[in-house]
Amino acid sequence: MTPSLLLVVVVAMSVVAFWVGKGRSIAIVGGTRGIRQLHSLPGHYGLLTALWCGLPALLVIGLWLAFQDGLLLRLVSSHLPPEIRALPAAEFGLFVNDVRNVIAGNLPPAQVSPATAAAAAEYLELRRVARLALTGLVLAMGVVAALVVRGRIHPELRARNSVEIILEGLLFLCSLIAVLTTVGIILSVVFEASRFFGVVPVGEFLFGTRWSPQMAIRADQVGSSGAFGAVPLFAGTLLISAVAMVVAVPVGLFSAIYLAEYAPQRVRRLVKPLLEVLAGVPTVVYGFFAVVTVGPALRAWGEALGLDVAGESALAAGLVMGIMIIPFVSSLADDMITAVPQSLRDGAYALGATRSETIKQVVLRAALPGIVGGVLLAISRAIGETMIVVMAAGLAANLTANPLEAVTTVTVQIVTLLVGDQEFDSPKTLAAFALGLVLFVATLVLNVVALYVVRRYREQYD
Amino acid sequence: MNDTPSAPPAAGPATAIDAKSLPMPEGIRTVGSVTTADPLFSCRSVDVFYGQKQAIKNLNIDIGRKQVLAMIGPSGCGKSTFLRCLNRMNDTIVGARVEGQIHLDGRDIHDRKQDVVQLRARVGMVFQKPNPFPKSIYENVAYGPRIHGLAGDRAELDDIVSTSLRRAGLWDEVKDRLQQPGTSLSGGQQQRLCIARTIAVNPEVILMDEPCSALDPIATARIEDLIDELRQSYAICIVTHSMQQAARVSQRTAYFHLGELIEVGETDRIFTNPRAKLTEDYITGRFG
Repeated sequence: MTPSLLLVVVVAMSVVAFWVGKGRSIAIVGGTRGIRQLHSLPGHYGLLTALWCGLPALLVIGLWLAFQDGLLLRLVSSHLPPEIRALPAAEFGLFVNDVRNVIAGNLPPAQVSPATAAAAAEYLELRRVARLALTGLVLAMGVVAALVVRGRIHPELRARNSVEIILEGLLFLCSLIAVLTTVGIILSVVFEASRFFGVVPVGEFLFGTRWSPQMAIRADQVGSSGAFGAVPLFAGTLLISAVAMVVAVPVGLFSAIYLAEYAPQRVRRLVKPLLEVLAGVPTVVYGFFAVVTVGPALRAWGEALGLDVAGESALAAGLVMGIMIIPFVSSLADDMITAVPQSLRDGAYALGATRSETIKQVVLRAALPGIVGGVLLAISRAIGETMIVVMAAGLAANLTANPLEAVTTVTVQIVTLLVGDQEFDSPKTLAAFALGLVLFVATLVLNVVALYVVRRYREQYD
Repeated sequence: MNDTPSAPPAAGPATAIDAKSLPMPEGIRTVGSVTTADPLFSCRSVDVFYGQKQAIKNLNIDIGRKQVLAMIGPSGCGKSTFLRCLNRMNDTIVGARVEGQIHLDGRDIHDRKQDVVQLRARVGMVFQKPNPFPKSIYENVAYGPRIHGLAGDRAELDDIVSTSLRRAGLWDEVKDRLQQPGTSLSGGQQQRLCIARTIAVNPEVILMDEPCSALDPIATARIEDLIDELRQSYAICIVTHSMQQAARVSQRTAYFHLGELIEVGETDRIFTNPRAKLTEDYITGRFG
């Protein structure tokens, strides 16, 4: 049986086990009238039986799927003729690749060497036997476990408690997956970045002002010196983010104030969803909006004013990114403003404060920590935003504070370093991981600070 | 049926020739002395609607200077709604509509010329739950004087703040920590801070909407003492669910029921000798 068919069988077996367990628990107390004598509901006995029947079997299948390939290959290669086992590592890798291709059916056995064909045949045979064994083992385990649990069912058995412990364990496993994934990502980035820092010193990377990641492949190549000073990228990222925040913070905040404090119900009901539509626009669409519309428009206006605006200016990318972030800022600020208790507004009105005095001096003051937290989250989004800058910002790593010039950002460089066929051992590609690490640390710090600020604020009023 | 022999001489007949008291409409059903000597507020035929629902029906009452008027009655009887009419806080509620005449010192508070900001500076309000602003203790008290430009310079402002805190009986507890946030105080202290904030604007009337319902008995006793002192300078209207409190702090008591003012009169008289059946039932605890 193939593993996928086996999975289906195990599930079906568990369903049967559920009904067996449930029926047994009812039968043991003499029918549905006696249910009150049971410690738990009949369903709990059924679930307990099903879980014991299914879970260990699933675990065995999972383990086998995870380790079968490595195990079988090791077995096969230990039977190989000595001349092949003596091959250097690279050639041996090629041989194993051929074997795999034959097993997968990509290569007819007739086209490869007899040793390869023999190894593939042995692999397939071993796998057939192993699968048979697995099927037998899993089915036997399921049936035995179900029968054992069925035999142990009696009115005192605390089935509900056991089921709840098992389910709690499953829930814990699910949350563990998310955490472990995060840890895994961090570790892989840190590991690759440390390889990069083995080639390029940390100081040079963090404080160098020249970025030119093209490495010379041949000794006579020119213009490919391989300089990894990331300061121009950080500066470009900050410049574009700053432009974005200059757009997004006032517009987002003021629209939130209008919607939360001034707008009549009807306007609010119409405008708020429309504003949130902005958040649903894919960033690619913003990207070509920046390239096709905003960039050329800025260039034309710049010419009219006698300014030299680059076609892919930081201003264009920043403006469009700012528009993208507006709904983010405004909906967070709106939440914070509406969370300010009405009693504070009443207090100010009762002292004779006007509406604008109340908003400026009381409502915004009370909502300020939350709004600051929201802005920090928005900044971390701006820094991590990729698609708009890939399309609208340039690739030239200029170190400049002039938003009319082209700059490049950390995310753009990561994309360009990794796009296409790459080998993951040159400093050029490894640099992407170092940049990713910096980006990750920066946004992590911003998010932690923002969440801290927001939480402190919440404690005050709830 | 609106005045009584047992009422004090202060309570004149409905037709009293008092420039500040408006003429009484026909057919009012309120028992007791609706008018009072030297009225500050004079309310006639007041109806309040929240959308379609009528919250107050044909209410007539005068409110005197330098005395405490307690408003009692079961929940939803309109006493808080009426309180919020007096400084036009109902303006902030969507769908609320106030009809009839409410005169403050001879002038209609709904008059077009009457600015609501000035009205609220004259009619202060203290709320059920203490609601200090998210500012320092000093700034909480200084807020009203600042927005109304009552202080010429910093020294004058300091003076207003310390005077107000003294009058609210809070000065000794906070004089060394004026720069700490107002929310750092205890519930009772916060409520006295809110009273100090109200006094700082130098109003003529202070409206109190169940000011002690969120406080413990000791803090309540302090606020009640304070109300008694403030009566020397201000007219005070207090909504309360505690009949003992009404009896302790007020000179006049008004009993509301389902949006109608059933009975109003001297506090002693109301609690010892209520004339309306509903008032008697409520006071003796038969319902409510």
